[in-house]
Amino acid sequence: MSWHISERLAVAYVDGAVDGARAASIEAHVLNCAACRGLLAPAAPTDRLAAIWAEVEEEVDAPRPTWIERLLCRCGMSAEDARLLAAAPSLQLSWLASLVAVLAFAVAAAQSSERGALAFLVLAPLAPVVAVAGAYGRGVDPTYEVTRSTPYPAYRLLILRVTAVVVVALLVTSVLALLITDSWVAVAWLLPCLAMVSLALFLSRWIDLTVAAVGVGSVYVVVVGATFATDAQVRDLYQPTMQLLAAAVATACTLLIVASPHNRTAFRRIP
Amino acid sequence: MTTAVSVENIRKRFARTQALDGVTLRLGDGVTGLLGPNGAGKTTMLRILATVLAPDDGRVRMLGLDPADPRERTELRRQLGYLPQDPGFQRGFSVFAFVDYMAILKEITGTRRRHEEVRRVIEAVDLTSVSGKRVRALSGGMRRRVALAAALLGDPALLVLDEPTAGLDPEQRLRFRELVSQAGEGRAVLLSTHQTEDVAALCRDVVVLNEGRVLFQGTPTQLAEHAQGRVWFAGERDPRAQIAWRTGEGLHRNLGAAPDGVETVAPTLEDGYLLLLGTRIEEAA
Repeated sequence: MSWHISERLAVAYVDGAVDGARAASIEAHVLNCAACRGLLAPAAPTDRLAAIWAEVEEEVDAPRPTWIERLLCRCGMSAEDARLLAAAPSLQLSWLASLVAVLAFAVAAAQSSERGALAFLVLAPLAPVVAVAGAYGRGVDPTYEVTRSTPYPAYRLLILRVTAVVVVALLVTSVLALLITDSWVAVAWLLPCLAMVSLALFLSRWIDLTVAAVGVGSVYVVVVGATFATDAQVRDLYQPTMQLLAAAVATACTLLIVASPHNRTAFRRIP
Repeated sequence: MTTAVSVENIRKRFARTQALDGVTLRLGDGVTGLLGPNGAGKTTMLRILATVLAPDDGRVRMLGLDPADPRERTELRRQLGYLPQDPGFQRGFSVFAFVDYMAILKEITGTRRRHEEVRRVIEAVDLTSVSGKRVRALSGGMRRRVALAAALLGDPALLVLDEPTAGLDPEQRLRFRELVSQAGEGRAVLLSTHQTEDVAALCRDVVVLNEGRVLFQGTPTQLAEHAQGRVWFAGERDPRAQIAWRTGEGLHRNLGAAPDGVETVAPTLEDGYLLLLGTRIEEAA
């Protein structure tokens, strides 16, 4: 050991007044020299060191955001809301992969025959409804029970998740629908879909969201099935009159949701 | 004793089952054990106290707040930690991410402050070394500790733990007892269990529920005293005993009205509990 740190150098180092090479040399030296460590220790600003250590801990411990969290943050969402959404079962990669697979088959079928187009029309509105069923509820969220004992407004969590899953499901369905050459088939699913989603959300004021979404989806399947069984044209279910009816249901449910005083108080933000 | 929880004549019915039938309780600080057989109403009671369920009838006040009032309920939830009987997890999350997720739901705001609190509770349950591991990779005992860490977030004044030691091996149970006894210092803890040893080891007070009614409320010593002079050993099962079993030494431990002349032994809390329930069964018959 050829040299030791002088008092003046120690003060300069602690004040950050030495250049990088000199600082590195001092740091390498004090690792092996107890006397110089003793000289530096009293001068070390403990507040600054604690702050630096907290930064290091934060960098090491803080969980890496998942791909969906990163995506949502890029869309302007807060990291907290993004984490709450990342826990939604129907935003998991496996769910999204299943959704894409089912719809891709339906799109391929729609391109090949009239029956295939009908299959797409029936399936496409259901995809976002299924996603809503898996967004939040007793049977689908593993932390549902304990979540209900927290102060976080349950309705805010529900709306956040439903909005996110509906947007994702609508995007996926819309992008795949663009591949269909019959432009009417490519868009006719949208209003029935919005009607079912908003109706399920409206009913979730009284019943579990999963139950509401499954119920609404089941009624839709029964109506389609009954139409098919009576030799009526299933395609007629998507004609302009029915589209108007779907638009009316979607608008009425959305207005009732927005206007409800209960929802307004339940949808408060975290202070 | 300051009253942390006050329950007056609450009732809860599920279809044809009367889960709680006029329960009245007063609980103070420290650990209180809730004992009872399956179907006694323990979980229903704890879910009501965790504000997950509302009673059909009766009054509940916790920490001076009324959970029936939406504003007071939200305030109460800020001071409440709950470990359900079967805690669920976002299994793909790491331990830190899961507890952080729960901290967001507990409205602990500010990323730095929240992460400090997450670190604190993870350290309190001795899981710092696995905080980066996914929850699905942990053992059952470790997962219960993760759930306890989540319940400890925000340093709640009231902890509600539903069978926290169920399914744990003896070593894990001892570790969990240590954690719960630490958690019970300076706050009210209510835990349900089937294990009389847990109650004897941890609890200042004990409540015995059966068929939705309170059979007993007092100290573990008072529960044990319920069997005072009613426990004796014999070479054979005594036909006059209400309950009897053969011990490892080959003798029969008989519980019930002791015959004249037999030498009774000091009762345990389990003796008191069994006789309390046994007496009720006999009365019902």
